[in-house]
Amino acid sequence: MKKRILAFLLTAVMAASAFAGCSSKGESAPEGGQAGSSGAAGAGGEAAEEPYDLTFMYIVGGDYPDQAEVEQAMKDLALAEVNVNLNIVTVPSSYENQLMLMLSSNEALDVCPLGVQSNVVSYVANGYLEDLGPLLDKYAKNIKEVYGDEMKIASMGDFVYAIPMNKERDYAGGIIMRKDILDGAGVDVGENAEKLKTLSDLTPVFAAVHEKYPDMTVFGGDYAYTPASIHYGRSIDNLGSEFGVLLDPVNDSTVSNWYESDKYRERVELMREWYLAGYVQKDLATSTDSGTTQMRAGNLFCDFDLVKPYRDVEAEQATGFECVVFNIDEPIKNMGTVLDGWSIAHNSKDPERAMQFLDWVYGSAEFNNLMNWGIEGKHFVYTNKAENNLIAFPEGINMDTVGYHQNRGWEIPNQFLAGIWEGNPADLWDVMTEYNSTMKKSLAYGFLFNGVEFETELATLNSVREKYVYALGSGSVDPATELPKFNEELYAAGLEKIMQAKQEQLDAWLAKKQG
Amino acid sequence: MKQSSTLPPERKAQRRRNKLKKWAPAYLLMLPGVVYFFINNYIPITGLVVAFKKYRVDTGIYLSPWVGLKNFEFLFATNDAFVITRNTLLYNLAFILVNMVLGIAFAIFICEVSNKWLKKIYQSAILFPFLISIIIVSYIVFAFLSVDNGLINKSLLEPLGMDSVAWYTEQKYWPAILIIVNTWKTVGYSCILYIAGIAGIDRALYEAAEIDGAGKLRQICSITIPCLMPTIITIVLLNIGHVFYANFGLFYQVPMNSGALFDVTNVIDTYVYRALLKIGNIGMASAAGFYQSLVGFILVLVSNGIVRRFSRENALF
Amino acid sequence: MIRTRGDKTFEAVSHIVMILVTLCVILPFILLVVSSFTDESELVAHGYSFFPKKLSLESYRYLFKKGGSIMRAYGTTILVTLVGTALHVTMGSMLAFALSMKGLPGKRFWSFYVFFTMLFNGGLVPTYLTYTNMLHVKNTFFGLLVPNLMLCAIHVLLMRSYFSTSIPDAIYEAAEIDGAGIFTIYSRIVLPLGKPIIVTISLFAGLDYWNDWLNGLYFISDQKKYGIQTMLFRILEDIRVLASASLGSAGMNIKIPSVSIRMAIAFVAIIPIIIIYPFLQKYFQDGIALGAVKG
Repeated sequence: MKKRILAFLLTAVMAASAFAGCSSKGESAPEGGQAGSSGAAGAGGEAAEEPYDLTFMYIVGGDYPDQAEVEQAMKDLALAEVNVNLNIVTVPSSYENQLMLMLSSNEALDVCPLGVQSNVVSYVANGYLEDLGPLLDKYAKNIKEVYGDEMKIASMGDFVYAIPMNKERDYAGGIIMRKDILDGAGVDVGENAEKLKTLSDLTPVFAAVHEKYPDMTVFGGDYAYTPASIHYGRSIDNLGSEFGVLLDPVNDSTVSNWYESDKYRERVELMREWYLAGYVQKDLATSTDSGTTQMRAGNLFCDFDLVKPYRDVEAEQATGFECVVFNIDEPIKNMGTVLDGWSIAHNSKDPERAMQFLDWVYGSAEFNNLMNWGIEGKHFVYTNKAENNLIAFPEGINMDTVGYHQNRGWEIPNQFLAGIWEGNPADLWDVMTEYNSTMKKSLAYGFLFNGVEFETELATLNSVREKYVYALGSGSVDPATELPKFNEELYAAGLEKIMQAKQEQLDAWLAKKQG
Repeated sequence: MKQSSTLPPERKAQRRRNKLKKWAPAYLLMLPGVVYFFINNYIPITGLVVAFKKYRVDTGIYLSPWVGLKNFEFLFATNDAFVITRNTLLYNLAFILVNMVLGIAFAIFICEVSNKWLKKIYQSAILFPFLISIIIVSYIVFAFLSVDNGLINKSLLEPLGMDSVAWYTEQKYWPAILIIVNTWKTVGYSCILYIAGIAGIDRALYEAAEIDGAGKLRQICSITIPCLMPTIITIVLLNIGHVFYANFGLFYQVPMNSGALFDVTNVIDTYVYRALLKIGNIGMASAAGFYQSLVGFILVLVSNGIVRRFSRENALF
Repeated sequence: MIRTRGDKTFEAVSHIVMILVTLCVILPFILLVVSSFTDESELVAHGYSFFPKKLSLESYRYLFKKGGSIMRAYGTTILVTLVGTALHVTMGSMLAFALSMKGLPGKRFWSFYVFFTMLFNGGLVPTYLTYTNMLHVKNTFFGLLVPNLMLCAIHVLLMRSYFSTSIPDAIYEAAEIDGAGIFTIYSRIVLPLGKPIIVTISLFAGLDYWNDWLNGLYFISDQKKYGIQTMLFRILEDIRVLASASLGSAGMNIKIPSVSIRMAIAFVAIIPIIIIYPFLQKYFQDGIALGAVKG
C-alpha cells in the first residue's frame, strides 16, 4: 500500500516537474492523466475519460501580482495528474457570506474550504454539503494515509461534512512571556516555565514584574484571548458549542455547565485579582490589538495565546523578543479543530470526481506548495532538498518583490507536505505529527451536537454569553456579583434544555460506537 | 364621479383615451424607476417567505417546509427583549429629534453667511464625517475614550486632577456618547437637505417681511420654518419607517462590543447579530428583518394617516 | 437689500457656531490623518495623539506596494460612481416628478409602491439569487452598478416632496398653456428649478456609490475588477487575520502595521473626494432665486 502511494507520488512529481514551464498541454496531459486516475481513482480504464470541470474555491489573503500564473500552474498540475480542469475561485479571508451565497444559489462549486467561522451544523442541516462518508470509503488513499482511522472524524451523526486541515488537533492555551523582562525582574520560572504549575503561580511573577517595570502592561492582548474568555482548549470538550461541556473529557462523559465549574470560577476570580492589582490592561475587555502586536510594540510583558510545539520560536519571530511559554492546559483531542476543513458542495455535478481530486490534493506536496508559497524556483526555493524541507526566497527576491506568498498554512489541506520556511525548526512536521499522535482523546471525539432543533435557545444563549464572558474574562467586572447573574441568565435562556439534549445525543452516539 | 357615471359609454371611452393620452408621458417617465424597483426589490421580496420556513438549500426557498412563527421566537424568548426594544426606539427618537433641531439650526446659520467662500467651507465640513466609515469612527472614539491612553483621560481629566474614567464599562455615559457620535456623523445629511429646502424658499417673502420691519428671528419663525415644513415632515416620516432599525456599526463597533454596556447599547440589530453569529440561520435572520420592517411600516402608516388628515399634500402616499 | 444691525449680529452668531461645528468635525479627522502617519509601536504603546513622537510612512508603503492595483481600483470606483450617480438621479428625478404631478391617476398607489421598497426587502440571499441566476451580473461592471444602489426610495420621496412644494403650480399651468408637454416641463422647468435638491441627491447617491463595498464583495470574485472600498476592506480583513495570533503556518513573520494601517486605509478611501470636492463646490451655490425665474 505504502509503496504504491510512494510510486504514485513519484510519478506525480515527475510528471509535474516535466510539465512545469511547458505551456503546451497536449503532450504530457495523457500521461499525467493516466498517472492520476490510476493513483487517485484506483479504477482502471478511466484514462480515456473526459477531464472533469471542477470548481475549486480557496482563500487568497492578498492581491498578488502573480496570482494568474500560480493559478495556471495549479490548473496544469491538476489536469496532468488527476485529469481535472480546474476552475479556481478565490475568496478573501472572511468569506463566509460568499460561500453561503454560492452554496445557496446553483453556482458551480465542487470543493470548498469551511472556515472556523462556518456554521457547520447549519450547513449540514440546510443541505449545503455532500456526505463524504461513502466517498471516503471508496476513494480515500492519501487521506487515509494522513489520518488513518480518524479520516471521518469531522462528522455530525453519520454525516461526514469535511476532511480536516492537517494541523494540531487541539488548541491548548498558554501564557507567553518576554524572557528579558523575566530576567530583568529577577524571576526564574525555568527554561520552559516548568517551575510554574498552576495559573495562580503567575501572581508572584506578575507582582515582581509590575514592581520592577511599573509603566509596563503586565498582561494584555485581544479581548477573546484570556484564560477565562477563550473558547478553545482548556482541557475540556465543548461538543461544538459553549453550552454544556465535558469537564473531564478523557474519563467522564457527563455534560456540565462550564460557567458553573470550579475551573472557570477560579479563572475569572484570578483575572479579577490581577485586574484589581493593576496587572491587566485596562481596556482588555474591548481590545482588538492582539498580544503579539502589543508585545512587538514593546509595552507588554505577557499575553494568553494558543500554544503548540515550537510556540516559543513562533513567538520570538512574531514579537522580536525571546519568549518563555507556560502551557496551562493539557491538550486533548476534541472537535474544536475539525470544525474547519475541506468539503464538497452540494452543487457539485460529480462528487466522486471531486473526492478523487481532494484525495490527490492531500498527497500532492506540489499542489499544497503552490497554494501556500507559489511556484518553486520563482516564489520560493528549497534550500537543501536532500536534507530537509526548508524553503526560502529565491535569490534577489524578498517580501516586497515576491509575486505570490500566502503564508497561511492553516488554510491549506495538508501543510505537513509543504515546505517549512527558513528560520523554523526543520523537524517541525515530525514534531507536530508526534504531538498529535500522542495526544489524549476526548470520549466524545467525533461527536458534534446537532442543535438544529434548538436554534432559538442557542441564539439567546449566544447573546447572553457575549454579554458576560468578555467582561468577566478580562477581570473588569466583579465575579462575585456577575457570575451568578451570568448563570441565572443562561438557565433562563434554556441552558438546561441544551445540556439535556446534548447528553441524550452523546449517550446515543457512545452507545452506537460501542455497539 | 357622479357626472361621469351618467355619461354614455362612448363618451366614457373617449374620456379614458384622453386621460391616457394626457398621462402616458408621465408614466413613461416613471417606467425606468418602477421597473428597477420591481427587479431590485419586488422579485427578491418573495424570498421573505423564508422567514416562515425551515430553509433547505437542496429544495430551495419556496419548497422548504413551513415552520410557522418559530423563526421569530428568538426575538422574544430572551429576557432582554424589553431592553433591546426600548433602546432601539428611544435612541432612534432621540436621533430624529436632535438631527432635526440641529440640522435646521445649522442650515439656517449656513444660509445666513454672506461670504460665499466660508459658506462652502461650512457646508462641506458638516458633511465630512459622513465620509468616514463607522468602524473608523469607532477607532477615533476609542482614541478619545481609551482608559490607559485616551485623550480625555490623559489630556483632560488627569491634568485637571480628576480621576480617569473607565469609559467602556460605565453605562451612564453611553446614552450621551452615542447621541453625540450619531449627531456628529449624520447631522450633515439632514442639514444639507434643509439647506436645499431653504434655497427653494421664495426670496420675495423675505423682502416683504423686511419691508414690514420683521427681524431675523421673526423671519425664521414665520417664513423659514413654515416653508420648510413639508421637507421636515417628509424627513421625519421617512425616519419613522426606520425607527425599529438601528445603525449596527454605531451600537456594535463604537462601544467596542463591551458586554458591561449592553443594557444601554444593545439594540435589535446587535442582538440579532450576536444571537445568529454562530448559527447562520437564514430563516431567523429574515424573520428579524421582517419584524423590524413590519413595525416601521405600521408606525409610518399611522403617522402618515395623521399627516394626511391635516395636509394631504405632505403625506407620503 | 438693506442689512440691519440685527442681521449683522445674527451673521456673527452664525459664524461663531459654524466655526465651532467645523472644528468639532475637522479635529477628529486630523487625528485620523496624524495617526495614519504615526509609528505603529508608538500607537499601540501610547495611544493616538495629535503630536506623535515618532512618525512613519510604513502603512502607506504597505498599501502602495502594489500601487497599480490601488490606482486601478480607484478608476473602477470613479467610473461606477459617475455612471451610477447619473442613472440614479435621472431615474429618480423622473419618477419623483411624475409622482409630484397633481391629478396623476394612481398617484397614491405608485407612491406606496415606491415607499414600500424602503421598508421591505428580501434580504441578501434572494437579492443575490435574482442578480446572479436571473440577470447574470456576477463579475461584470453591472454587478457593481445595479444592485441596491441605482435608485433609492428615500431619495425619490425627498425629491417628490421638493418638486411638489417648492415649484409653484402656477409655473406648470403657465407652461401647459404655452403648449409644453410633460417632457419639456421636466427638462426645462423641473430640472433647473429643482437644482438644489437634485444636487443634494446627486451628492448622496455619489457617496453611496463611492462608499459601497458590498456589491464588490458579493458580485465580483475577480480581484482585478474590485472597486477601491472592496479592495481596502479586503486588505484590512487579510491583515486582521495575519496579525491575529497563533497561525501555525510555518512561515516567516511579516510585521504589518495593523493599527496605523486602519487609519491610512480610511484616509486613502477619501483622498480622491477631498481632491474632487472643490470642483463640485460650484454646483453647491445657493440654489436659484425662484422670484427671478418667475419674473
